[in-house]
Amino acid sequence: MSWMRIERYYTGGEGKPVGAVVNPMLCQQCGNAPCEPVCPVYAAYHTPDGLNGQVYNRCVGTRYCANNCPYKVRYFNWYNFAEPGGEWESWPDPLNMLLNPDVTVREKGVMEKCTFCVQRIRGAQNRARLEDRGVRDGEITPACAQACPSEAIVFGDLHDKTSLVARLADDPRGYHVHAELNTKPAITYLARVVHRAAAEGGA
Amino acid sequence: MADASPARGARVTYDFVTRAIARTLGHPGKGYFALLGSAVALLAVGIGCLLMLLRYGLGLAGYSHPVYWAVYITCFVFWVGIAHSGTLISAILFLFRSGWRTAVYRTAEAMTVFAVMTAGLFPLIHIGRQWYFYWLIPYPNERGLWPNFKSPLIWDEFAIGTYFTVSTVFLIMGLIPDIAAVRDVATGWRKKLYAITSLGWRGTNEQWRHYSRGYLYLAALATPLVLSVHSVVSWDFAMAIVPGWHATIFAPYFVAGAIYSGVAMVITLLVPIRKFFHLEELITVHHFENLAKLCLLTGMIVGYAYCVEFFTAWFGGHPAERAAFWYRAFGPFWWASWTMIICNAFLPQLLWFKPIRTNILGLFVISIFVNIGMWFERYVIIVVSLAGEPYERFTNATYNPTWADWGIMAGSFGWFFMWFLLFVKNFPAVSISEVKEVLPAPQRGRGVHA
Repeated sequence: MSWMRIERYYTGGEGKPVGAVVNPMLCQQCGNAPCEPVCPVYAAYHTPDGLNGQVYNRCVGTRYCANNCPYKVRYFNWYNFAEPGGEWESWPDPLNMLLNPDVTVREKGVMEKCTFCVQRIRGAQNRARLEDRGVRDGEITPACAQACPSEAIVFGDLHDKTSLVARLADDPRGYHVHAELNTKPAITYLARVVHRAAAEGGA
Repeated sequence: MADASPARGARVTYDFVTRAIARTLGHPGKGYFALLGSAVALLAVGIGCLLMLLRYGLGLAGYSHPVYWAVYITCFVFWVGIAHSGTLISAILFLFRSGWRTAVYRTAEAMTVFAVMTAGLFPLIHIGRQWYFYWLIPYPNERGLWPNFKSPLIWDEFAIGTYFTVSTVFLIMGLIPDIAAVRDVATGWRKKLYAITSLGWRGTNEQWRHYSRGYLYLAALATPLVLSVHSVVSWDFAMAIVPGWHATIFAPYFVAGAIYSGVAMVITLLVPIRKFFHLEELITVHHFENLAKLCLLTGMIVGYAYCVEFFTAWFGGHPAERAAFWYRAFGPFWWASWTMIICNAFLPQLLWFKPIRTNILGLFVISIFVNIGMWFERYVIIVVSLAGEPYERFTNATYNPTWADWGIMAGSFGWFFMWFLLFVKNFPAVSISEVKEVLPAPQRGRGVHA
């Protein structure tokens, strides 16, 4: 199940050159998240460091959170995809070896979503605590940022004004998706600036 | 409490009423068993589908991203809606001293209780891990975990639970004098059943005095529930930010719709009951005409709410809101929206005409169309609003119900009708004591006191 969707928006049209804009859409880790208050069992909750946590063990699957998410980035386990020999088994042996050992495999009937690789965040925090220091900027890299060859995804602590991500988020090109809904997303997108000539000639 | 124009013949006396209603409890014929068998068969289909759902997961139903709620929640709201007219007719019209309610309220009340019992199943069926449904219930546990009282789903639980409790107590309490009346004519195991369930009722003045006080008190307690329950159900939607759900009109809109669908269902149920049990002289055309007027009133409110929804979407000028309503009327689900508008807003306009209001067959047909229309109203609100969610629109969003959706929906009808059929054959489906209240008191030479 993919937690990040690449949205395509086409530009141009009839008689004009056609282009496409891509936009990776993942959980925005809203500061004022619409998914959280509607969960009847607190499976969707706000962690003290600002993540929209999802407690898989607690989720009963009302799916109210997914309905109320304007970004539509919550995904549901309609079947038991990990049941060995099951009709919908997605990783028959030995493919189950590719499943992340740090993350539990979700059962059927459970909502799941991107948590900025919370297992990596907690791992780095634990290591830092053992070494009696703070978490350094760049120490945590979520899987998506790690996989992106053009380094288009940057992760860090927005409260640390010296961090790379905080400096990028202050960029005048930065915008939040659906800021008008007052969800206060944690993700800042940077708009691409295109010269008019290039735009008209086909991006 | 006089019935304004009962249009009942002179032969309808106290004795006649007792006999006519006790006759409905007589030995059931083949037709009754055929109906009961069909209801149980439908229920079996539903249970079979539910077992498949438990075994394999909710994917068997037609859900597809981003349509996360669909037929099950549609059925939930539909059945809660059906449940509303019962208390309206039995409690609110009781407080308003409407004499005509006496002939129809028992059926409406029984329908209410069974419809809530049906509705309450759906939130349990539709969740992903049905076996953990009890996590939604606030109970002390060693984990120290409580449900989230900010979630409208928890409000729902309380609203429906309260409504079920009060309407059941109200139904049982109203039944006591009637059970006592049939106890006195019953034989065999039924005599024992009625002897226990009538709680020692002997019809003394003292008992009547306490009873009528208690009944009045319960009616007053039940009255605010008529308005509160469906308001709370509407907040499941209105509290969310989905365009098409997030509207302040939702509470009154849902309450009017609920009473509308409930009254239509009362007509749908009463027409065959009256025919098969030969109760034409007790449930007269006058009663049906009053139900039709109630239908017309609430139907007009629902039609007004449709207009307001579209007007607000346009006048408010919010692009997402406008897009959602454009999608509703002219998107791929246009057929559902127009079924809803035609059945609920246009068709009941026929009830302005007295010849139609007093035509039992005509009313029966219209009431069935209103039931269909009100089911589609919930389908449109839930499925179409989610499929057309305009913030991150999935242009290929689609939703096709599967056998698992239809099977469980059919099962819910089987479950409802099974209880209802068992009720009408075992308990007085028309109130004996209250019908008598609106008849002229028996006098020497005019009738026999029963």
